[in-house]
Amino acid sequence: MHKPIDDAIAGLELDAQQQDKLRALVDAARRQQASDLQNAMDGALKFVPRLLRGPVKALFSA
Amino acid sequence: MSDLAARAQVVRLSRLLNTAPEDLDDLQTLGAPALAQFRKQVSTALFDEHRNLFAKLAQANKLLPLGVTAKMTTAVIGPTLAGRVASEMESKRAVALAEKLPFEFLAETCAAMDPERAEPVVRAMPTQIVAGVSRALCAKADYMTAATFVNVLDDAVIQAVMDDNDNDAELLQIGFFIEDKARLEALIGMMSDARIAATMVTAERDDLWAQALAMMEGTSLQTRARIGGVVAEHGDELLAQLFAAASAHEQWPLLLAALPELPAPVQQRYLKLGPDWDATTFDAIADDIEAHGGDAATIRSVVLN
Repeated sequence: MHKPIDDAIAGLELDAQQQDKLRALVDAARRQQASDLQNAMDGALKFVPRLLRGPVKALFSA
Repeated sequence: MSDLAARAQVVRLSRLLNTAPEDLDDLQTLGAPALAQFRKQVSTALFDEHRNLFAKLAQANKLLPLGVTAKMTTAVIGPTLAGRVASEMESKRAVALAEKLPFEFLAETCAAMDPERAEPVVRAMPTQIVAGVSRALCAKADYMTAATFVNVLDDAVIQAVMDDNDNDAELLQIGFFIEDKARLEALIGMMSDARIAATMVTAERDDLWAQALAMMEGTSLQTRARIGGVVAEHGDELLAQLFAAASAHEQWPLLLAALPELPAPVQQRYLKLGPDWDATTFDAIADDIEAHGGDAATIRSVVLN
C-alpha cells in the first residue's frame, strides 16, 4: 500500500475490518488508474499521424 | 443536514475510487470534514503516483493538431484521465482543446478534476464554456461537482453563470455543496433580494429547506439577517414556512442568532410567527445560538421580553 494513503486511512476512526475494506478499494483504484493510463497511451498512438508517431512513442517510453 | 453533507462526501469519494456509494456507507458516520480531508489525501496520492504519465499525455497533446487531440481525448483518454491531465496542460492549449469538446464530456471531466490543482486551467476558461459545463452538470444533477469549482472561479464568471441559470432549485443544490463558507457568503452577496426570495419560495415548493438552511449555516449574521429580512419582506406565508422548516430541522439557533441584526419590525414578526419561547425552551438552545455566532443573553432579553 502507498504510504500516504495508508497513513490517511490510519487517521480515520475505523475498525480494522473497515480499514482493510477501504485499503482494498483504494488499491483497486490505483491499479485501475495505472491500467487506464497504459490503455490511454497505447490507444493514443493510433490517433497520432504517422510523421509524429516516433516522437510521441519516444515521449511515452522515456 | 450534516448527514446530507456527509452523504455528499461519500458520493465524491466513491467517484474517486470508481466504486458504488453503497460500498462506502460505513464511512458516512465519520462526518463531512473528515471525509473531505480523506478524499483530498487520496486524490493527491493517486495523482502524484502517476504524475509523470499525466505530464507525458499533456506533452503529447502539445505535439498534435487540436482536432487529433480532441478525437484522441474523447475516444481513448476519457473524461477521468482527461481531468487529471488537464492540470498538467498549459492553460491556452487547454482552453483551445475545451472549445472542441462537447459540454457533456467536459462536465464528466470536471467531475474527475481537482479544481485547486487545475486552477490556472479552470480560471482561463471563457465564461461561455463555464456556463455550458455548468448547464451540463445541472442536467445530470451533478450539483456537487459544480460547487467544487466555485472556489477557483472569478466572481464575474460566477455571476455570469448564475445569471445564465434561472433555475433556483439548481442554485440551492449547488449552494448546499459549497464547502468554503466565505465563498458561499460572497456568492449570496451577488444575489439580488428578488433572487433570494425566489430561491426561498423554491425551497418550499421543492422541499429543499434542508439545503437552504444548510447553505445559511456558517454564513455571517448579516447575511442570515439579510435573508430573513428578504423572506419577511416577501410576506408572512413564506416567513412562516421558513420558521416551520427551522423547527423541523432544529435550526432555530441559526435564525435566532441573527435576530439583533434585523430591523425592529422584522424582529417583532419573528416573535409573532415563531414558536412561543419561554425560559426553558430558550435556554435549551442558548449554547447553539452562541455556536452560531449570536449573543444569547441579548437575544434572550428580546425573545422573552
